[in-house]
Amino acid sequence: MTKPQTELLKGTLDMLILRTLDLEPRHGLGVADRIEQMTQGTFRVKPGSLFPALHRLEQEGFIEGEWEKSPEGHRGKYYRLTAAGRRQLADERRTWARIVLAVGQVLEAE
Amino acid sequence: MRWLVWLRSLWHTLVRPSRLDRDLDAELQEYVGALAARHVQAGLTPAAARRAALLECEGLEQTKEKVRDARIGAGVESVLRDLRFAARSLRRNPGFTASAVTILALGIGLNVTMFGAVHALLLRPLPYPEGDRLVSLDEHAAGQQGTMKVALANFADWQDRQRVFTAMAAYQRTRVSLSGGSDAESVDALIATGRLFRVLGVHPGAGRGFTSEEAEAGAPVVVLSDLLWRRRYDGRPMVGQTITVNGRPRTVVGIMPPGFAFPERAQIWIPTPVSHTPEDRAGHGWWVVARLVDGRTLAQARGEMLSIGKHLAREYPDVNEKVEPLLMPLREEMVEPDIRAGVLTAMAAVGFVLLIACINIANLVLARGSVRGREMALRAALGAGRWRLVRQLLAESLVLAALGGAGGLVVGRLGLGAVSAAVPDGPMWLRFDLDLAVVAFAGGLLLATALAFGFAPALRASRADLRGGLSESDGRTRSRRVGGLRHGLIVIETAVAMVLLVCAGLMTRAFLRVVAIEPGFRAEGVVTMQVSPPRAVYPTPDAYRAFHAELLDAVRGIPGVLQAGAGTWLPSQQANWVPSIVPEGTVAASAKGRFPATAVVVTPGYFESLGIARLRGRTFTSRDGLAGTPGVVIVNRRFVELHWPKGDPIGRRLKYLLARGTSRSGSP
Repeated sequence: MTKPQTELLKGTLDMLILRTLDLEPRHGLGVADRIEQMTQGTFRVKPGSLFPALHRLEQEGFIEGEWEKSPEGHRGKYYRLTAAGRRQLADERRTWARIVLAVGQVLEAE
Repeated sequence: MRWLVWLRSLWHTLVRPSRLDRDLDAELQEYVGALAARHVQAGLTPAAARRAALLECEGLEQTKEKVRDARIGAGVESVLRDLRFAARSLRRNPGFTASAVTILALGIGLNVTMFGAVHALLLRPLPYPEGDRLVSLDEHAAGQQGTMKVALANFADWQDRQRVFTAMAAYQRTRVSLSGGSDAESVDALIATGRLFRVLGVHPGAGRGFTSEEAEAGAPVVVLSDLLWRRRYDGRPMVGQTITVNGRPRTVVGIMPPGFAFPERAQIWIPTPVSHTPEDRAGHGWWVVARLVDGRTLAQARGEMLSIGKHLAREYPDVNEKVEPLLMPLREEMVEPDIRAGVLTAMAAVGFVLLIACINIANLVLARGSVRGREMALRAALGAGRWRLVRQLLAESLVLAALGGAGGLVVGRLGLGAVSAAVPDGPMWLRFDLDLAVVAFAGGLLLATALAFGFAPALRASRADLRGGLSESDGRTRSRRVGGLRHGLIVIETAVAMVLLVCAGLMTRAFLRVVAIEPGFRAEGVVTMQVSPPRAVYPTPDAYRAFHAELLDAVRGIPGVLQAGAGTWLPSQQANWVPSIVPEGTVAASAKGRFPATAVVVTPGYFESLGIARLRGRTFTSRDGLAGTPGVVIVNRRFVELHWPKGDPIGRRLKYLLARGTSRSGSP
């Protein structure tokens, strides 16, 4: 955690969680680790934000939780992306790309 | 498909929250375990590693609470939980609960009662189709106070010239006697011009209403109320049958539907022709109702009627000078301004009473709140956010208010029953029901009261600071703050109570003053009754007079009767007939002579029976009014002051403004 921590933009946490589950199922700690790793330590998601988001996404049907043992023998609730979740991720990516483009244009405008 | 998933989640949240919670608990334990395992690998002892992991989590219980809040339907679930908990907590404090609910039930009950009365009297639409388009018309002399009823000949011209009403009708309340068949009886009746039923937009349940042609031709027809038909005629087929009204046969052409009433309690409707005679332009004795043409407003109608009134004033300057029509919604005409003001004042008063009740309960809740400081602090420590605590306390207020509201409905029902019983002879359309609008009002009221007495204490109590609350070390400063709020509430309460007391005192004084006014007659020991001898049976004035003389003799013969007299009017009643009477020799156009004096016809014994004092001259004797004797009148002091401020009234002569007869005056 050498880098300064940055507050997550509102609404981006859901997208990041869906993205970490895109490749393989993970448990809660795995999701947090993966986000920290992908952002090179910029974001460390605390359980107080992580678990509410995970459970809401599960209730909305974007991810599914399953109690399993990890290859290392760790028991945990592993979340997997559903078909609806995949569509949602694609949607959010497009939206995000538009936002980035638009905000960039504003900031770089003379 | 999305909503199916959503519904399933809602089901889980609401119905199996414990399963979700167990799952969440296990998941968090695993999370902490995994985190601790990492610290162990980094070289910490297991105990230290677990401690570090827990610290990183920043409170497992807080996290759980956040997850619960994030669930679909969490709002509903937590509200239900709050309500359940509130009910439990109130059950544990039966004394507090009972007193708060009782206070609220009385406060809300009073308001429900008053609102029921206001609703019935002022708000509920009249029971006629599009009743809000019905307009009542009066006449008004510019520069004079008050209104007059309408002159029938003016009405006739209005009816012919106006284009803003689909129809108009003039009417007079009266009583008629029904005879033939079973016993004779006297019933409330209405004499009306031909278009009455068109104006009201109500069709008879059987037969038809009378027509303008019948009314103009003086056809002997009549329409009965459903009530009268069932009561007197046993619901037999009556349309086309002949009944005896005031001794004369009339054919029943229609029977109105059940529940129909106009204007108040009339049981029988009799057509009358409109009239253009000069007498009917001078005498103002008719009520007028009209229905606005679709798309026309009351203001437009007022404009057109005023211009017609101006024309009539030019055409008949001697009686119509400065007289103009006065329009108002029928709904307003049906409730006297005094009653309207009275119920609205009472409504405001009971509103204040409820405010006081709310403040009292807020004080009780606050007192409880300071006792519960520890509980609140404990809850905050267990992960409840401030808003969560406010909600919990508001839920208690809501449960209290709901119980109070239920009690209030019971009280309101009793109250409205009492109001109904107090107005036994009200118009048929006036029903003091606990209907949907009143119940909705009670619902709104209980929500408002819950907020009113619950919000400030909830905010106050939820401002729990963890350490202080738990250790109660700063109990003194807390209680001082709470004390400030309570003192503020007491100040408000005292102020409101003062307002109420002052108002009540003023009203009592006004009432005492009314009671203390010398009405000019003595009501004690006076018994009145109404008789309407049919013209058909007593066709000539002499026969009519003979009937009354005989009747009065019989009444005087009753043991215990001291005096008896008869008249067309009783003090404090509104007189129907207002002819223009002026001293003989008054110039028609002089403003002084335009004062409309009310005239009533009375028998000897009338003034004596009512204990009305004579100032000068004499009262009537049995010889007055006989054929061949000079006509005599008695005038009151006001009339004398107006017309002969300096002279002696005795022996002066009067005349109807239009007609021929003159009379010698008696005394006030």
